[in-house]
Amino acid sequence: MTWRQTRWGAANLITVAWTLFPIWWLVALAFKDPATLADGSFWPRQWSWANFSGIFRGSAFVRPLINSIGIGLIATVISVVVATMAAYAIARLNFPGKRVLVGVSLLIAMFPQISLVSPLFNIERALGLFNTWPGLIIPYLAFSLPLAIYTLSAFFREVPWDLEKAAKVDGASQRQILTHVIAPLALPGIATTAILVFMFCWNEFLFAISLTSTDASMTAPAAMGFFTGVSQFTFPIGSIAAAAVVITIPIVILVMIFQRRIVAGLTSGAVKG
Amino acid sequence: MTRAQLGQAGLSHTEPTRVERRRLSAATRAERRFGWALCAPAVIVMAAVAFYPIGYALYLSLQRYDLRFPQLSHFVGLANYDAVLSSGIWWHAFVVTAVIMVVSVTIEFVLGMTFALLLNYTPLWRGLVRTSILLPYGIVTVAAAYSWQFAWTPGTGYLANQLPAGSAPLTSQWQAVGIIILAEIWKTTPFMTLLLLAGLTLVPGELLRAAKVDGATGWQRFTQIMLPLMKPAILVALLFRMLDAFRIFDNIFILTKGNNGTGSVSILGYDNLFTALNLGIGSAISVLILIAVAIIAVIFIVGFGAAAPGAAPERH
Amino acid sequence: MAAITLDKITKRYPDGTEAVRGVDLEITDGEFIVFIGPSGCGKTTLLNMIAGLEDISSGELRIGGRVVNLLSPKDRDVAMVFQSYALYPHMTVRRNMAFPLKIARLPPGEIGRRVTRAAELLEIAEHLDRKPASLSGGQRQRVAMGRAIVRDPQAFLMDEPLSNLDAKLRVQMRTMISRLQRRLRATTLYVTHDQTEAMTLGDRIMVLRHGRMQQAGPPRELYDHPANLFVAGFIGSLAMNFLPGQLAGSSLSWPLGDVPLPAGTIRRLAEGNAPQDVIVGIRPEDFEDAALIDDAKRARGAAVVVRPDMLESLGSDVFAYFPVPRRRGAQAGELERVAAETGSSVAPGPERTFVARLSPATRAHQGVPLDLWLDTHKLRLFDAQDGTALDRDLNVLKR
Repeated sequence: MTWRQTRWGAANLITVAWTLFPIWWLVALAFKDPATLADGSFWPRQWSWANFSGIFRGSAFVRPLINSIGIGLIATVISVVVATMAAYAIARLNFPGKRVLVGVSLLIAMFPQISLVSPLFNIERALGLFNTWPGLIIPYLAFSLPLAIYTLSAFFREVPWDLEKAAKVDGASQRQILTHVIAPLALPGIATTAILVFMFCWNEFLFAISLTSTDASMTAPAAMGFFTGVSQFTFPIGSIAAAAVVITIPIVILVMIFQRRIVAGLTSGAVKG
Repeated sequence: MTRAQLGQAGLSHTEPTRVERRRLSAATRAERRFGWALCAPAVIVMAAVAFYPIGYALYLSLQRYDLRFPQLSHFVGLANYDAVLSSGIWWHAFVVTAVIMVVSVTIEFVLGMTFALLLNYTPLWRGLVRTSILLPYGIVTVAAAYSWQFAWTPGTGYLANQLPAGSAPLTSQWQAVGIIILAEIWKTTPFMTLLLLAGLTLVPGELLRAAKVDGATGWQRFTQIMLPLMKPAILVALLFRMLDAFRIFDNIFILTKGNNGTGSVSILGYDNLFTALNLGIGSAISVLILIAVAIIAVIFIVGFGAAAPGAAPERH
Repeated sequence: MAAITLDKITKRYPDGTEAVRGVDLEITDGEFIVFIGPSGCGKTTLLNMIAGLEDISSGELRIGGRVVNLLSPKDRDVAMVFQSYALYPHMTVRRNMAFPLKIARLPPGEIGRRVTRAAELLEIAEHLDRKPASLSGGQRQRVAMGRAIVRDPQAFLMDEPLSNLDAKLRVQMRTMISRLQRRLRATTLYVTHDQTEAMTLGDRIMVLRHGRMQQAGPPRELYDHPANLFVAGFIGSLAMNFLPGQLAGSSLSWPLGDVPLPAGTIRRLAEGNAPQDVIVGIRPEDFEDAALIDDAKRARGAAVVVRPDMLESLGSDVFAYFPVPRRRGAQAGELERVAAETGSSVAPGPERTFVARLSPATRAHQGVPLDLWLDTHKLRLFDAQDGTALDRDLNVLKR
């Protein structure tokens, strides 16, 4: 090991430690035997699955988990389709109002969500959308669109202009150009955007706690905010930790597999890994 | 070609006649229609969910509207705003929010820059470092917040147990704010890192090599070459993080629920809406937050010249 | 295949700038015509307008007798080959070539037949099932041409198709394009900035400058009888030498000395009311070492004494570079402009450098005075103000 490698290795280790400690702490707590939860040690003295089996007993956590998955997937699919169309138009076509649209979507990205909670709360109650899946999917759509459009238009811009010109001269209509030439080439970008949007929906908390009230549509993070635990007499810490670990696993897997894509997406293609 | 470029090349300019302008070919018109059609769903969703409710929030903020007695709601003009702005509670929350925003963004910037440099230059274990730097971004905020909460709770927490006995940092105002800042930094540094990394990759490697040959130290290369060239990316990163930080909610909700004077303006809004069930005051707070965010954005874009990303690209 | 007519074609942008100004051109069926000019002259814009990728601001475009101004590209029945080839990276070569036919809804049997035939013609039949990424530059270029050929269009439009290839490949592909065009008898419009390609490929060349057509005619005509200073400086791989001078009766007075003009030239100048101040152009190959010239030839020209400050021996030729004093106050504004655009550097200072091509048998030495003979019949005279050629024999040129 050269001196240079040692220095970089040390820097890497410190970085990894910083980022992984809180995650490890959750894992440790989750695996601690419920009786030892209060002992304050970093490593479990006694390993047990009790916390995990606890949260899966009954529907207190399972139902919200299903809601998270369902709402996340549906919102992601719709958001990606809508964003793909808009991002293509912004990146490749010329029409009046294009700049306004970009500016508007930027504005929405900067909106404080809290400002929309009260009106949405009232509106959804009036429309009967409160505490339903659509009641969360629609706001998620609106708030994921700016990120999705931004990421996708960066990918679309990478497709060479000449291909469109060639397709036009070959006789393809605008629609055929989009479906036969552009979309297949932007597939990696579409996949990345889907991952980012799904992560956004999975993670979302404020709307989830404001626009739902029962586990008919409450998502996992929201449910965890109000967890009462396995029984009334034990600290809920173990259950919460176990739940936290469970909802973290899919993200960890996604990040590990797709880390290059995610970096490329968030840096709009500037960093290709 | 711009007018200036063609002017340099010696071409003359003549004004287009109205008849010629109207003769857009069928293709151009079709392209416009196609463009609008493609954007329509996105516009509809965003307008319905963001713009209509904002108007509605403004409307609500001008009413005295208690959810427990909806039939008693009536117009009170700016009375809600008056009540909020003259209330010590609001300003306290504002100060807390501002402190969190400035401190966390500053530390994140330094940390994010360090990580960006690490990611760009480390010769070892790139994949592992990249994954671990990204993880906090992907973790559910609530989960991470719980992790910090448990770590600092006396008894269960390994961190709390390092402190002198009897201290419960989450219950003392500024210590709790410190923990909130820590949690926020841990969670959002990846985003800052990535934005800075994007700016970093745009610095031409040749410039740095030339500087090295000229004898510049690492620090000099960093401050004299990299930082100035990264300025646009830095401004964008700071802008987005400032706006995000001002809206902080999730971490505070889990860590302290805003107790002991640790509430941010968003928490205040939430409390008024869902605990006090006062839609009028809650909406007024919401609108004030929106104005504050807008002011921050304007300061950055107009004052520092941060270029909004995703601006319309050129056509060939 | 069809004839194409450009009738006062103009491209004007919304802010008033004009990229193409009033181009008039008749292209006959089966002709290979090259559009050439410096970058920014509007040649690609012109091609795009013909293809339908850009709107025509004014003027009429007729393909095969039909006015096509408002038609979209697919209705004009033209095929285009791009500088970057623009091959669809996610499709195999076969699918790339079949794409336009599929869009046009041709029956699969016909599509297969055409693709196979074009592939054989271009010698890429063995690559049909590969993707563009695994092909070399030259192969990709041929696929791009194949995609155009299968459509059997009214005209081929080519936008600098060879610029991305290395020099050797370029020569190979040039001959292939030429052979192909003659075999298919295809009306071809070819844009390039490389004047070697223009000279070798085109039946006719059209030179564009600032969006305006300078001259259109067979390569030989542009070379021997350029219509203006710009065309003279642009065409010819050995750049023409230029120097301001003055007409004095039957001779030319310029920094190289006084030179008598041939009778024919004098007559034509008088007919055309030539001004006194002129710019003289002469190509390097129209010089020779006076010691190697026989007397008969010597009479056809004039001799000057120069002192070469650099000699380059290429084996088949020797290039002599010699300074020529620049006359003070000479009206040569147009010359400076042209020099800038054609890329020949005009060094500041009191002297200009001339190039003469000498036979390898020459005994010229650096720094030693040299008797240089020049062919006065090859002197080209241009108006010093606007660059127009002054002594073109209009009987020789019909277009």
